[in-house]
Amino acid sequence: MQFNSIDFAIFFPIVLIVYFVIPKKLRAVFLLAASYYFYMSWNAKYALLIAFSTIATYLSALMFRRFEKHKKLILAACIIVNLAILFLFKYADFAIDTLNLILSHFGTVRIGARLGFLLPVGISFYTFQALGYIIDVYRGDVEAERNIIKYALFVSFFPQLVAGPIERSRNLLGQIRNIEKICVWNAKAVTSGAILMVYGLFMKMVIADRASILADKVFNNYRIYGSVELILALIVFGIQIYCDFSSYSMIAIGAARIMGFKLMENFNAPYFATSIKDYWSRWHISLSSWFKDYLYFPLGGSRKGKSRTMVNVMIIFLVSGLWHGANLTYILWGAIHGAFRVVEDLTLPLRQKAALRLHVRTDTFSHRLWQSIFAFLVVTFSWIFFRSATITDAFIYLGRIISRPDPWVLFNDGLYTLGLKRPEMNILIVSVVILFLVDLIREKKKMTIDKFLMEQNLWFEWLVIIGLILMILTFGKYGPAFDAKQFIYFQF
Amino acid sequence: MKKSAIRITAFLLVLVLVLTAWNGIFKFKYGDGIYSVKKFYEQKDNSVDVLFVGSSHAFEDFNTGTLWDEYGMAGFVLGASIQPTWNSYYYLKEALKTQTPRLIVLEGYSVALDYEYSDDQRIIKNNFGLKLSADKIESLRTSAPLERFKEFFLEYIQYHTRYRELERGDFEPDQGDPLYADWKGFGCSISTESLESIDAAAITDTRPLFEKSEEYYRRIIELAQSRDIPILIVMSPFAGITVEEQMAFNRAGEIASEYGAAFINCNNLVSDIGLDYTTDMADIGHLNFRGTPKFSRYIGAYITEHYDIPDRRGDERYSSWERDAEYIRQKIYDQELTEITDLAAYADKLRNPFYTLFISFDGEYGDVNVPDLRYVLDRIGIPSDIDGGVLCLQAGELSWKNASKNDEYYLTAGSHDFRLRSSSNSDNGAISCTITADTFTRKAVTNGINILVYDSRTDKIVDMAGLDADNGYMLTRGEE
Repeated sequence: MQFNSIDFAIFFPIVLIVYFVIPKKLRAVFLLAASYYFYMSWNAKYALLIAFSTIATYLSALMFRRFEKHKKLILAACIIVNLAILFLFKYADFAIDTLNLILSHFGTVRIGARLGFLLPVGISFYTFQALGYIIDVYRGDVEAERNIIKYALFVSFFPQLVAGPIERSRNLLGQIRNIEKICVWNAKAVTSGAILMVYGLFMKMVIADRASILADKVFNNYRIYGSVELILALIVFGIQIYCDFSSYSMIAIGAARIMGFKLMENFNAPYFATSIKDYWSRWHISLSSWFKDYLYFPLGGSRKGKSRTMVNVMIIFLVSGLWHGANLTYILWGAIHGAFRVVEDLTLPLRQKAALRLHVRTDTFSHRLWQSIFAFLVVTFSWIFFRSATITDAFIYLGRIISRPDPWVLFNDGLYTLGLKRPEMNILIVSVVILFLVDLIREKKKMTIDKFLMEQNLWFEWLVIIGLILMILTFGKYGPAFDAKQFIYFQF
Repeated sequence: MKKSAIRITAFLLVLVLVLTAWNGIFKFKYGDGIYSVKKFYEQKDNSVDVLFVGSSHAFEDFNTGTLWDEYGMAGFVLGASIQPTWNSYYYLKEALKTQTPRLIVLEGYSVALDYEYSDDQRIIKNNFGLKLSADKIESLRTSAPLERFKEFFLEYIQYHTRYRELERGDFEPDQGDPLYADWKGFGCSISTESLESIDAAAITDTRPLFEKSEEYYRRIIELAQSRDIPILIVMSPFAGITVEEQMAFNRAGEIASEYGAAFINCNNLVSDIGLDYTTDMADIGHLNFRGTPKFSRYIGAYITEHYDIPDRRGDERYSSWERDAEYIRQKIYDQELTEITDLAAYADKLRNPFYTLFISFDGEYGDVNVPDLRYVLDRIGIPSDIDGGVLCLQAGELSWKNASKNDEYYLTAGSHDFRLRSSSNSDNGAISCTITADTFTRKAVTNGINILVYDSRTDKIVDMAGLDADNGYMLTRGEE
């Protein structure tokens, strides 16, 4: 059941109405049932996996107190079990393929055939959420939850279950523990949540799904296109994945807010970032901070010298790449970000010195613009590896950008043959302008769209919301002529 | 809390209003299905005396104009494209909620359909016009496979992509087309296809009907009889009839007789009706503007002879039928005009109260006062002292002519904008004349007299003709 489906349009209001009217004591159990129903709409069998992960982490946390001396062992076992499931379903085939490839070079026999498991939706998200909890309990940052219903709801809370934000136990579990005290009919929260959901749907249905038509067409046929089309597809893919992923988070945050929950922010105008470091403080914040809290710091963070810090940074980015998918392309994508991040740190004194010598004014708009453009170019460049099916494809794609210049397509109608005809392209351009303005407000006023609109005069607030609704209903990609697209991050 | 509730309610109200207006623009307005239902809902309760139901064979063949002109019959054709019997059943059921006709005429072509479900477009055309009700839901469930019910029930998802094809008509009442102002559901095809047909009357065998088609065919008869409304089943004549279809029609006749319902297969009566398939067909399935009056006269005579149908002519309450008939008459008149090749006959036909003529004299056309041409120009209404420039005639009377070599005239009529312009070349003094209609310059001949004909009744640019000076002022059509 996707957020942009008719099923969800029926499911969510029903859940909301029931949640609003049932006795407070039943809220947790009802939301748990709704969450499992939501998850099982993809594949009922895989609910067993989430249930297993829930029970394993729930029991492990309770065992910490009883078996104080073996805490570390219990933690290790719990992490291994959870990661083993993740490995089995997500990485086993990749590992088998890679080993078979290596063995084939030595003429040895294959280690076996692929397992061919279907990737359970959102497995990386809920596994990381559960692992975060067990580590928090181990560290003593949160109390072990005794109520299995509430804990299970924390792991499976439907708005953010399949694509984040990856919540922390301190935040979401804390709220679920006090679910009876949540004020469920808060007009401001309902309005704010509804605005976020509408804007999220706009990003997904009007922008991301429209952009995907062009990006898919070019990436799937990249050997027949020249530089301009390939660069355009790259930029459009960058817009697509941002809108796709960010929209899911926005709808999740909005849906939760309507029900009285506050989820963490996951995106903060990432394309306004002025460096790769800045970018990762704005993009998929819940994952970056998860890696920081549960991997980077345990590795020593920046406390063990410069070179160790650089190694730690590279480890984080390589693991982050692997988290996104079982493919070398994702690992290379992570490596590119890691490398730029390291180079950024290493060259900082040099760049500062150069700026001083060359009298470059670093407090100007032009300097920040240059920094943003550079960061955007690096991120966009890295998308080649993220989006391509194989490393070879990525390098050929890159090679064609350099070797097949075709600027003339900018002056004929060549760009309108990439799956989006002129009216569709115009809609995309106008929508991206809206996206830019909303992110600009976020950047300059430090306000999300809901807060910004709720501060305005009523006519403006209504005009924007109704305008967005009309854009979704009219220009949104849905209906029988449209092959409903999953949110890209479901696969991670 | 109270303030918030009011605010949210007010927002939802505004949203619903905006969405309703938005929906009105985007929704399908197909004439061959949806719009006839819309217009049917607009009829005064119990005003329709004869209700025709069926597929395109119904709405293309039962000429409500002829039925009115000849018999004063207040008929309405409630049909849709390739309407299966199940949709005819639900259309009829819906119709009987507001109307109690004195006669139901079922055009039965669809008994020959052999499938469970229509294509998507037909499912849409046969359902989307209906108002939301339990019957509509039942109709949708019957029309589409269960797993696709949602797609058709939530209509908007089917037409939200129409932003790519919106036209002026989507924003105007009755699509900005006078046809729909008083429309009674008749399509009136003006094309002609010369065809031959098999001898349907010679085929007397029967074949079983497709189960679902037969079930709803029977239910239609039973529904009419349960309401004590006589039902007449008519198979409209068409040149493309096949042996299989005729056998199905024969079986339909047998079923009708089981119920004691009247049944006429007009495919057996082509010569009695006076139809000539070489001139009277629009295509293999439907009669054209020459065929429908003949067929409707025949059916009208049968109906008035066998049923008690009042003559409503002169009754003020039925003025909309008079206007519908007037429109149809005028539409046929327009078509006849475009088919005339004789200049004198053409000139006579141009004298129509609804016509506005935009005329320009172009090129080195010579003397327009040669007797034969002068006669024609007089018939059109062009005063003898005019032998050049641009002019406009309305209902045969001169309404404007250029007063100088450089002059122009603008006229906005219905949905069209016209401009007449004469201008002289400053170098050689030659006069250039142009007729512009809706931003396009129109010209049939470069040397001679150009005539653009606009019909205010149908709001159509009917013809662009030229009297070609290079060919003895021969009547010429087409664009230069």
